[in-house]
Amino acid sequence: MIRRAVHTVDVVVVGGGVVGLATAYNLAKRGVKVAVVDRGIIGGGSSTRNASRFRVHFGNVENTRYAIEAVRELDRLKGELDWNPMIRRGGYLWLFRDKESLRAFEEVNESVWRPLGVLVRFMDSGKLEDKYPYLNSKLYVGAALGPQDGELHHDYVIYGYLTKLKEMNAILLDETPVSKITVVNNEVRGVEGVGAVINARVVVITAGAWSGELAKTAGVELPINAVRKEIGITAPIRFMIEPSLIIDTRVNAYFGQTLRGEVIGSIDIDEEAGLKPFNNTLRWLKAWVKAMGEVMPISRRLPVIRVWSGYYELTPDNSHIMGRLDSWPRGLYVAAGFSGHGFMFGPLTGRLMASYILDGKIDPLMEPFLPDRLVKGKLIREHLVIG
Amino acid sequence: MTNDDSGRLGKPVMLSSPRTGEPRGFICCEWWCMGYWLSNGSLNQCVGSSPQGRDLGLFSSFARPSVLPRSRLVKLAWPIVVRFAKGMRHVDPSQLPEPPRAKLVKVNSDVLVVGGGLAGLATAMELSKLGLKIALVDGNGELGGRLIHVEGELGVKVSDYTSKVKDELGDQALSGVVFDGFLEDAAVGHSLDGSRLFQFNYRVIVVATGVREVPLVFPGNYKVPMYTGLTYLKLAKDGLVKGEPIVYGTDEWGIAVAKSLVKAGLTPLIMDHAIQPRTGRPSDLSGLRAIMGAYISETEVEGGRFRLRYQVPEGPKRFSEGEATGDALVTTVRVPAIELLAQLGAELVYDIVLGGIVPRHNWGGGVTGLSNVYVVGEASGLIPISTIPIQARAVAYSIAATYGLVKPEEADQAVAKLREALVTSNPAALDAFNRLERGLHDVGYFQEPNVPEVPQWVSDLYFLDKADEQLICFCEDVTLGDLLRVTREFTGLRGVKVTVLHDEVPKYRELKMPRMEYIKRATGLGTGACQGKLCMVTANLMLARLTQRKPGEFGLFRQRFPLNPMPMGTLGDAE
Repeated sequence: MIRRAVHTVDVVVVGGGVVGLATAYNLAKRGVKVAVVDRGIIGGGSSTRNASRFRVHFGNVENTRYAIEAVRELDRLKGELDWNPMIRRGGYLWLFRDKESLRAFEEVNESVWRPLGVLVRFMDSGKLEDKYPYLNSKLYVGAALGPQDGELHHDYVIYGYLTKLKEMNAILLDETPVSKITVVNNEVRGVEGVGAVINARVVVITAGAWSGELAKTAGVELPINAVRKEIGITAPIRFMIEPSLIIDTRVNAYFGQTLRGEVIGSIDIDEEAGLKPFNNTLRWLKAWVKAMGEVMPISRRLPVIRVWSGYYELTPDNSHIMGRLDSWPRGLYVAAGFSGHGFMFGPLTGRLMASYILDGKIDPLMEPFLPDRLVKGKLIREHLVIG
Repeated sequence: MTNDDSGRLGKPVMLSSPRTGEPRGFICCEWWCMGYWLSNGSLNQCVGSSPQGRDLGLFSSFARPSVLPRSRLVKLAWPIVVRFAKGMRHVDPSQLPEPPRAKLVKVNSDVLVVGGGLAGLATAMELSKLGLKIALVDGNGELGGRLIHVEGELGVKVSDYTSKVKDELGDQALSGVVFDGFLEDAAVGHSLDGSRLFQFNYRVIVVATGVREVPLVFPGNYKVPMYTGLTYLKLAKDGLVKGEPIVYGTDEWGIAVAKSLVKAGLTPLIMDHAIQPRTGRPSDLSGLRAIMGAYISETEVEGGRFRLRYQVPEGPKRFSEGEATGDALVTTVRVPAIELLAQLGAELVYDIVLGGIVPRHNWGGGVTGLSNVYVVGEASGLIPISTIPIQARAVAYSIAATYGLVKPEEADQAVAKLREALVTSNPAALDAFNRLERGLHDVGYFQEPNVPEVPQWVSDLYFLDKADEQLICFCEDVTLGDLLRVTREFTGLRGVKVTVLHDEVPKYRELKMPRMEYIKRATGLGTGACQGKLCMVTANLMLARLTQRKPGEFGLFRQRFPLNPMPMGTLGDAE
């Protein structure tokens, strides 16, 4: 017989990524007994597979507002968590190969960013050449730098939450896949898997790309599609790429340099949706290195040392879903579908979710992202998805 | 990247850490090491130029990944530190060679053999005789593996195999070509000069990647010039090193290295913390200067030479002390090179009898548990060299049997021969067979005590107070102390209890050890340019030993494509 550990808590958070840990942390801070359960290692899904960058530049007011507050929350965490998140604001540099895409970007600036105090510095290709001589500036008609954007160390944010949760005696179960959410009389009673049974009256789904499958076991349909995204890194070289991320908007390729000197980057190839295995393809690798060679010619010499992959968890409007619907079983909450920008939104989402669960308070920032928008058709339409 | 144009090695010089400026003494000139040199900014290290300066930046020493995350000082001073952290003395991209325009080469075969050492060559020959189309790749400039450098010492003549395989396979025998591993839509390799990108098509792959010599771990291990056995042998034969090296490790390979060095006119001192030579035959050491049972406790460097202080345990809390001086420390300590198998996600176990982390190996079929992947030679565990040709035949016949080229009985016979050879050369192997066949490895069963054999490069047990002076990850400056702190943090342990055995302290037994995946992310271990080739197995076994746990409880972190750093140009050009 397989021994299953049985735990009883107030809230069980399924998914130990940044969103789940932040939610659990904010709940535990208020004295709630929480358990976090993850199918693999804690923070081992999209939370560790991403490019570890953050930005405030989004394509609409809702996401931009959310991002501004999310970045403030990241800053606050520096003091709160024991692990240094190693934040550096190098800025995002968008490169435009044609006038139209540059103009579209300027329009977003006028309509969304400027009113909200989000800065953008435009430059022509001459200035680009002066400031970033390693870029092939002949390709571009212009560029835009968002100086408030930057990078962080994703694993240290995760471990910061992890050690705090340990101190607060939260139950952390890694390598414990959850097979179903138990629902009795339209009310959740906990979750169960092969390794453990956790009884709780509140279940929060923060399982990223796996959230859709999990919600189904409670009879809830979430429109979240996993799309595999590949990413690669080179051997460390002397620090030279000052912006945290450089984006070629035509081919949707991006790259940046870590503080340790590695160049990290990727390119968007049309990949079919689905929870594909975490493999890499030669098709993607060739597309990426070719784009790199065009954008930054010296990269021909950089040796690739590692490639890996993770999921973007895409919703119909590329914006996340947080909260609950009255038609769902009582006690079931979701924060998922972050569509490739979940890490930076995670800490704020955790704080808002905790106060929503405990006080029923819907923060104005959170309101546009409630799941009822999908029912009512009030989609947000985020078009600035990188990579 | 190891040779200059004339194909000769130059005399290596000591490196320094790109972070702290401290000396960094691991010197290896083998193909897989290229990434490590890159991280040091010393690409052509082996031909004797080092762009590294030794000047210390005050804040750059904070830039060790293991120091960064939790130091309050670093956190407070982060805006200042970040400016220096960026300034690490890594190589400037303009110093890297411009890769030539690469061609794409497709290699088609029935069986692809990865590794051109004794095991790979013997398997290729057997398979070729059976009428299968074979391709063979090896990262070294010439075929023959490590044994050609100790030809005559171990009773096997590898040059016979090399010439036969070259005749038999022709241009399908590729040397200087690295098999980089498995992508979803291709199996890819590249030539070390970057001029060719290979795409391999095969039905069966045989992994014969052998072993990798890893740095020794002892207090001050980064201060002395530490060479791999293979590198030092090459240098000695070219007359680039002289004098009195200390050779650490007394298995077949270590003794062969020491004897070859004697022939080359050097006066090596052989050393191990085992009491007897690991071959089990004390007579193997005759004619060699040897110090056995010695744990290195202290290191002092004076001019070009260094002095190692060591302790020899003589009973509970009793030991005698001694000193040895040398010009170079040569590590002949090996672990199976399992990166390709780990890329495939093969389950790996620590085999106490064979003495290494080995793929779960179905000896009846010679399969790792992955349908078309076979392992042969020392990549499957440190088996006696004399049994490798017999194992090669067993693997070849197992493959041929699946094609109907030999009768299943013939394959069974070949496997039975291997069993006999292993059991007679190593009595304990019988026990290993029995347990493997009962599948006990799957449930993590180990003979008592559960971590029985200290790996020979681990001289940790007595010097935990000097844990911060023992470098494990040479790319990212991670010490044994860092590993222990992180283990404590993730388990909630106050101190790692070395004395706890079995169920004496049930609470300790219940604690779940952190996976190496956590340790990697928290310390930076194995995230550097060598991607864990030098440190992963060492770290795993040391942690297991120190916490009295099974290596499997820590696991290994995932390995990824490519095996060897590959310039973007090479990847992008080849059509």
